[in-house]
This record gives sequence, structure tokens and C-alpha cells, in this order.
Amino acid sequence: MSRPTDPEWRDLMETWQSEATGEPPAPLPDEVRRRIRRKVKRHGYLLILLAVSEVAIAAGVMALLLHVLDLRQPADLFALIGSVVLLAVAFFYSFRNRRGTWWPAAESTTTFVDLSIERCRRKLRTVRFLPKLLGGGVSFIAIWGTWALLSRPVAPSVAKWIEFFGFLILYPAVYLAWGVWYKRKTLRELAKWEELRRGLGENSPA
Amino acid sequence: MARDLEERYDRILREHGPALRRVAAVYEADPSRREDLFQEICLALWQALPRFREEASERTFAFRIAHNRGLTHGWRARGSVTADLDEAEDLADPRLDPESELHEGERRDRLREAVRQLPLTARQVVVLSLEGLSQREIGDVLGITENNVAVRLTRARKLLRQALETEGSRR
Repeated sequence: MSRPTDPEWRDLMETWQSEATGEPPAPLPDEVRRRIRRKVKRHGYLLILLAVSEVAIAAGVMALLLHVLDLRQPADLFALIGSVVLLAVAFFYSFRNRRGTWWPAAESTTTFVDLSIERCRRKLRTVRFLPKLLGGGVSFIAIWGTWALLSRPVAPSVAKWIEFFGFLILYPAVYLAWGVWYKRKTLRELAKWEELRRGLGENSPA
Repeated sequence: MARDLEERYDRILREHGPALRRVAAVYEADPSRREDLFQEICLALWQALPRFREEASERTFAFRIAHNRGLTHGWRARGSVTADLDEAEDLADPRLDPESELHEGERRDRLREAVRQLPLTARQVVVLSLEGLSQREIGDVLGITENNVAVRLTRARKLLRQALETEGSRR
């Protein structure tokens, strides 16, 4: 421990550290220890669940498509190819954008803050990518849906068209609303980290 | 391996637990949320321990985690970091008689309140220095050079003195 020569500071140090000098520090209570173990387990399971669910959803979508589509029909073949391309783009982007943005709790404050800023920027990049992916998805569904509806032996009713285009409007609207909320939240977070970074950078970091 | 880790974890908490609690108190004024923050710190410590490769001392490692957790916790629970603290503090020194304890407690409260009023960067450097870390260790925790630590510490001490005077005149 570093012992200061300044008596005033030494006095302050003693006062500061005095609150825990009564008894030798007790080991962490068992209950707290159990809670920590539970949290660690839960966190691990959650990460696995997230990764598995992403793959499971993609696999589920593909299985469903293969089950309902008649691949001899050109419109259905188009649907399958389009879905594979969209899923591949989404997966590629998602993995690329998440690389290197873990929370390294044991890094120095400066590195931690820099990585937190990078994490926010990646989130914003995701938000910017969302309309493009959504645009691609909506265009694809619009083309495929219209094609499929028009290929039916019996002309679809007006209600069917309204249902189809209603979905096409509602689906991106919900996603875009979420994107706006997420962007605002991330911008607020980024502003806080950048403010702190400016404070840390006052005397040029090591 | 797991047993070694557990033993090491216990030792770190035994040696630095009280200091980590004090760091938590600087970031969180509310006692129950402070306990939550302390547990978050313990959790992060446990998760980071397998990757600890001795590039820094255990103390530096523990303080890094505590400060980083404190930063994120403070922003999630907005306002609590700088909230006024009038409640009696919960960690008293049982060796002192009631009168001395009252006096000592008042000094501690004044000091903690003054530290809480400092800007975040000054607060970090002051807390680490009050915990007895050398300038090199403080630099390791914050990721800045020793020279930067010295500059910040001089400025932060001045601010702390002013804050203590203000606190003293208020009581």
C-alpha cells in the first residue's frame, strides 16, 4: 500500500478506510455466494439460449418454407431462394457486427469506455442497416406474394389482397418503430459514454 | 482448477472486499442498490477471474472491475450516483466508544459526501488514492500514464478540499 507523506492526506486515508477496520473482513456470506453462482449460471444459459434460438428460428423458418412450398412452382422456388439470401445476409451482418464487442470488465477504465462507445456505434450501425434489410424483405415478400396470388387458378378476393398488403405495411412499421426507440436509447447511452471519454481524455490517455 | 479459482476468489474478496464495498458506496448512494452493485462487482470478478493472467496485481484487477461496474450501474440507475445521502452509514467501527464513533462517523460521512460531489474522473482518482494505491497502480486501473495521474490527483485533491470546506460549513 502506498503511504503518503502529506499528513493531511494520510489523515483522510485513515478516515476513509476506517469503516471496515473493526473486525477482520468476513468471507462472503453463503447466500450471496449462491446468488452469484445462480447469476453466473443464468447468464451462461441466456447466452447459449440466445445463440441457439437465432439458429433455431432460422432453421424453423426454412423447415416451414420447405414444408409449405411447392418447389416445382417458380413463385415458390423464388420464395425459397429469396428467404435463404435474406437470412444469410442477416446472419452475416449480425455476426460481423457483434465481433469484438464483449464487455471486458477487467480492462482499464479508458479501454472499457472506448469499447462501450464502440458497442454503441455498432448498435447504431445495426439500426441504420435495419431499413435496408427491411426494404429488401418487404420488396421480396411483395414480389413473391403478388406472384403467388396471381398464379392461383382462382383470382384472390379483395379481402385477401387487403390482408396481404396490410401485413406488408404493418410488419415494417412495427420494426421501424422499434428501430426509432432503440436508436434514441443508444444515442442517449453514447452521449453519456462520450462525455465520460472527454473527461478521461483531458490529459491524454496512456 | 475450479477449486483454485474459488480459493483465489475468496482471498481477493477477503482482502479487498471492504475496499470494493467502499467503491460501490461512491457510485451508489442508496443502501439496497449499493448492495446490488456490490453483488454485480462480485459477479463480474468471478466471471473475469479465469481470464486473469497476472499482467496486473490482484488489487488493480479488482479495482478495475469495481470501477467499470460502478460506471455502468450508475448510468442504469440514473441519479443515484450523485443522490444526497442523509441516511446513517451502515459500516461502523465497533472498537470505538459511542462518542468517538459519532465523531469518527461524522468525519467519514463528510468525507464520503465530499467525494461524491466530485466530478467522476476526479472521484475515481481520489477514491483510488484514498484506498492507498500508488500512482502507477491508479494509472493501471484507469488506463492513463503516471504523469496524468499526478496531474489529476493534484486537481482532484484541490476540489476535494473545497468540497470538504463546503460540507463543513453546511453542518
